[in-house]
Amino acid sequence: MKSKIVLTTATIVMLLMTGCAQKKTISPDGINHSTIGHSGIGGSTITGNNGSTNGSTVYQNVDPYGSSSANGNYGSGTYGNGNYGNGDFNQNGSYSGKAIQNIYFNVDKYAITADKLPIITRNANLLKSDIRKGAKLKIEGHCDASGTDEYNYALGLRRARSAKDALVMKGIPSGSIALVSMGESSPECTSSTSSRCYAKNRRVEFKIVE
Amino acid sequence: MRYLLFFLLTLNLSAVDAVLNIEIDVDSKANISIMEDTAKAGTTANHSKMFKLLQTDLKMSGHFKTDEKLRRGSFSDGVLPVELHDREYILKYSYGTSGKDLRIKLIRVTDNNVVLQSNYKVNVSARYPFLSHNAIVDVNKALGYEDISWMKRNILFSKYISSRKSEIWMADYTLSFASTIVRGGLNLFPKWANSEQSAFYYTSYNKLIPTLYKVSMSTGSRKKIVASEGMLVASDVSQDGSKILLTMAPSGQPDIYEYSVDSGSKKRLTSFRGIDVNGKYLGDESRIAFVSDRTGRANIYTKSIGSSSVSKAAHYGSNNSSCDASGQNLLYSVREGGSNNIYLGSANSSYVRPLTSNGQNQLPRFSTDGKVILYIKQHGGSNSIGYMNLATKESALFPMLSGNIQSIDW
Repeated sequence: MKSKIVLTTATIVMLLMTGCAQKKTISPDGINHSTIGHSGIGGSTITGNNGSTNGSTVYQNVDPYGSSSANGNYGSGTYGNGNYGNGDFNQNGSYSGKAIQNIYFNVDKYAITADKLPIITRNANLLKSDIRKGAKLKIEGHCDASGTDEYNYALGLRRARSAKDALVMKGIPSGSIALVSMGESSPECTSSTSSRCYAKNRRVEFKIVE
Repeated sequence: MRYLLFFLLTLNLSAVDAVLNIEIDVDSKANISIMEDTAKAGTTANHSKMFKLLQTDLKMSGHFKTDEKLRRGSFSDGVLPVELHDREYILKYSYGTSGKDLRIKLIRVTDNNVVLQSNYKVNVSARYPFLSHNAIVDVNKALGYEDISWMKRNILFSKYISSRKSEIWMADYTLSFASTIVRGGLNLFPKWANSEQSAFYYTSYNKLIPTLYKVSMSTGSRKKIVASEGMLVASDVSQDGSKILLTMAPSGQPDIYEYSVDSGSKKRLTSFRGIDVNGKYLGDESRIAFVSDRTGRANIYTKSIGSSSVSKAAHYGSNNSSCDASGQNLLYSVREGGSNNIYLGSANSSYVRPLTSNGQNQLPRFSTDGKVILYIKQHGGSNSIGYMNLATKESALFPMLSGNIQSIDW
């Protein structure tokens, strides 16, 4: 008898718990058909910014930072329309007439491997005389588009830094080299998202800037 | 059966994420019909879009089952149509002929009571989606549901438009409003400077070295904060706006610094010889989560500011290159097989839960209240912005017309 009571109680508790589940608190009231279509608007309003104040409607402005001009402060390029200048930074720089080669990297890698050292040596030899005359070298690090924002830019930068360290070992003065990461902003290959195309984008480029 | 399976609220049907199929008690969603004011119907080009926006917002709140039919009637007349007697609520709206103002009335059908009556305006008609978003946030609040203010926030993102060129855009969460706010050259990593969204930081590559600027939304003016060779990112901002977690790379060594906005002083927080980036404040902001390749591949770590000891925080995945934090919760992207997926984790437990299951899903971001996540889905060369409400399980995808997103904040 006792076990029957326990079992019954347990069953009832289980059913109750299953029934409770994760329901929201809102559930429909019973529909009172007699009120539909017969009464006007009743009840009180809950929030402010409503109805009429001395005959004129009050509107809450949900646009606190836009001005009243045609595009407001959200207009196309209001904060910058190239007016902040392109500066020297974004210019390509160039090294015409000499075969300065890019160096390419495997996925997620930034070390200059032994097979790339001959390129470093050749580039250093080509660059030495101009650097001695005061030219500066900018090394840009690039990535493919498979990564995510900050990490990708850091990967590009570490690639540029590895190339710089290798050039310094070959006699290029450290103070004549600037580094920048371009992330995935300037791909060499844009024809597809294949691994072959992406491989061309994981690279460093060497540019002389005056 | 008490429980029904609901389908994804998604505009992209080509990739179904199994984890997003939800089970919810159908009785917990309130039935609602939307009724447009006949006197104002169709008076501007955006009028047809307002209905869709209200519908989308009600669905995304997770608490309403909306009637798909666009109904019209009198905004001021208190008589309710007989065919709507089985609804729980009717949302009447009157969208003004200027396209810049919206009036709403939320009516409880059982007693024909106006539960909420509110009026909204925007300064320019292009910002009309915020009329709907603000209205539905208030509708939600009036009925006692949890706050969904995330819905009325501005999204800030940078988008590549061509080689070495990217623009910063502002949009509403549905991308119905989207406008360029910085263009010319390479503009990256936009980050809101405060919770009010009255200013933002971004990195410009248009001077000799990467430079961080702060732009004021009210004046449109721009102020230089700091410049640093190599790379420069404002990764996170403290709750009170007084400190920024910066990724900087003097000598080509990317590390995380804590920067004091008032004094300009910088404190270096990481010192590993490889990559340490993507710092995010945890909890009371005495600790950070960040991405590092200190064990050979990118992964998520935590450390206390001022201490050198570092703990691994992601308990799944061996190639996790992006993270966000809210309280002690973590979001991170995992590269696995040919996919990138978003995972929810914790900084102080081994809890882990996948939020996507296939495709390319990156740049995960918590809402300021930590209840909704935003992420970018890449497919076929184009991007969509995805949302998942962690509490109500609602989800949606909104495609971008062009361009690839570089970074995003909201």
